[in-house]
Amino acid sequence: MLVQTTSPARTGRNSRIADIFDFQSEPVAPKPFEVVRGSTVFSDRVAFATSVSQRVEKVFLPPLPAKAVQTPVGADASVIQLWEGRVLDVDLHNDVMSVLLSARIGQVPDHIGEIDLQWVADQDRDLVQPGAVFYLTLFKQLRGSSVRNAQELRFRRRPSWSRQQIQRIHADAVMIRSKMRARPIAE
Amino acid sequence: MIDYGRGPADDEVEITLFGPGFGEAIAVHLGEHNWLLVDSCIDPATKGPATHAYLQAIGVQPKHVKVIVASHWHDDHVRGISALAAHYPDAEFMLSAVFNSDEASSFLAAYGGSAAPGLARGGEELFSVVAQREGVSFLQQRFSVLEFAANGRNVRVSALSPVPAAFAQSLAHFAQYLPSKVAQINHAPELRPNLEAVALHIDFGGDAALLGSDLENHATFGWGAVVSNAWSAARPNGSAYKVAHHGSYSGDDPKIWATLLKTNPTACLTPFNRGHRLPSDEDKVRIKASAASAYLSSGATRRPDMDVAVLRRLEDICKKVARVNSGFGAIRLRKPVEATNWAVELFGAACAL
Repeated sequence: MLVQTTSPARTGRNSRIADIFDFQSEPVAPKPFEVVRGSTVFSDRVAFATSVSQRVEKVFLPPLPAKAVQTPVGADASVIQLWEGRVLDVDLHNDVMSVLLSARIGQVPDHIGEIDLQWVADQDRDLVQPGAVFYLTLFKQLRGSSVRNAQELRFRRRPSWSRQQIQRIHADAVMIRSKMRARPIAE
Repeated sequence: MIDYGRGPADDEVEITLFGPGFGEAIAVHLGEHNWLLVDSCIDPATKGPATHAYLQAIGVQPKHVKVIVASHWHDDHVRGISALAAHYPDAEFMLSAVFNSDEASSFLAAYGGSAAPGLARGGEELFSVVAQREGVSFLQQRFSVLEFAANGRNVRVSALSPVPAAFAQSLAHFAQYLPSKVAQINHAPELRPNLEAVALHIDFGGDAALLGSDLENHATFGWGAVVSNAWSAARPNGSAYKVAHHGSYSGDDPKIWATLLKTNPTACLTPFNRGHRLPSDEDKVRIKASAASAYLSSGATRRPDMDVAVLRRLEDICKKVARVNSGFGAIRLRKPVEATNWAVELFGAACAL
């Protein structure tokens, strides 16, 4: 999922609202808003702003992360870190996945963390399971004097097991079993 | 490189716990130069198996390593174990009896074999050892690991788990992830709860110790079944305990302390920081209440280690960011068999719990 979020700084629970509207010339009054799950893509800014405004009037929610808005990353955006992630556990009750993150840029040790499932694109939802691999890329884009941040979270879609692989696995399993010896019973 | 000092005297027994370079490893001196190695982790200084670096440092000859046990297949317990096994070709290699089944052997072949490399480091390590050796031995409750006489005493090492009742449960876990033509190739998931791990009882002939591996608690399949087993309960109570499953609540059963251990034993454990952070503060309180003294192989900070700006950006998406490897250390318990108390030495990042 390609998302665009905070520019230039976070100032509180409503700063993301301002971020969403940062293309507008008039300041937008900070209001609580509804976090919508899924990967709704708005074709134009007016429709998006209207949609958000309508939700603002009817719902109050705790300060959850804003709904990821799919926006293309500009060609001049630079990657500040690329993480290869692995899903360790999925908590469907809290809509969160525990992940192991391995940095692909620089000498950075492995880290763990929790990512809310709202960051996962709809088309990737079926891939969210323990053992699944994803790539999280953090971008930074300079627009005049402001910094625009974006990130991309994409799951690796792998092929199914082939018949040859399954045959190989069967042969390897037979080999393992052939080498097993029982130890004697202890007194 | 850690300076480990001298090795144990012939009549001294020793349990040294290493971790978490990535996971944990244990070296046990059973007396008269007989060594038992359990699991493996990587020493960040040597980039090789921590127990091998240790044995080299204190001058142990390869022929004195009698047995290597892989308590279970998770890569935080078998990282580097193929290299470790190669260093000690004469040592007998042992693993959990669940792998003597179609389901678990197929799982190991799928996620550790050559059909689709890179799906599970732990699986690859274990598969590599099995493939390279003529034979390996499997362990379940009441199987003998090692028995010999040292210093006029009978030394017995035996398996407390897995219990036979746990097999069906474990095999069902493995079977869920067996390859099929419609299943997508994925990394191997960690299968919980861990009921297939090999917990060991060491009878030094005059004192005893318990190595809990990552075995978790369950009345029928886990620790509950171990402590309620008459044979297990008849083992000499241990004065030292490698706490099960990184000190977690799920790896504990009050009867472990009451049935298998002496009052106020010396406890040691390694931390775990992948998905769950163990031991938790509650775990530490619980363990310290049961042990005379308790030690953690690494008390190093779990704070993230990366550029501040990148961390700030990452935390927009990812909460509770913490470092996986938080330091490396070792806890050494050593004493003459007949001595009451263990002499405790801490190395590297190890600390009192």
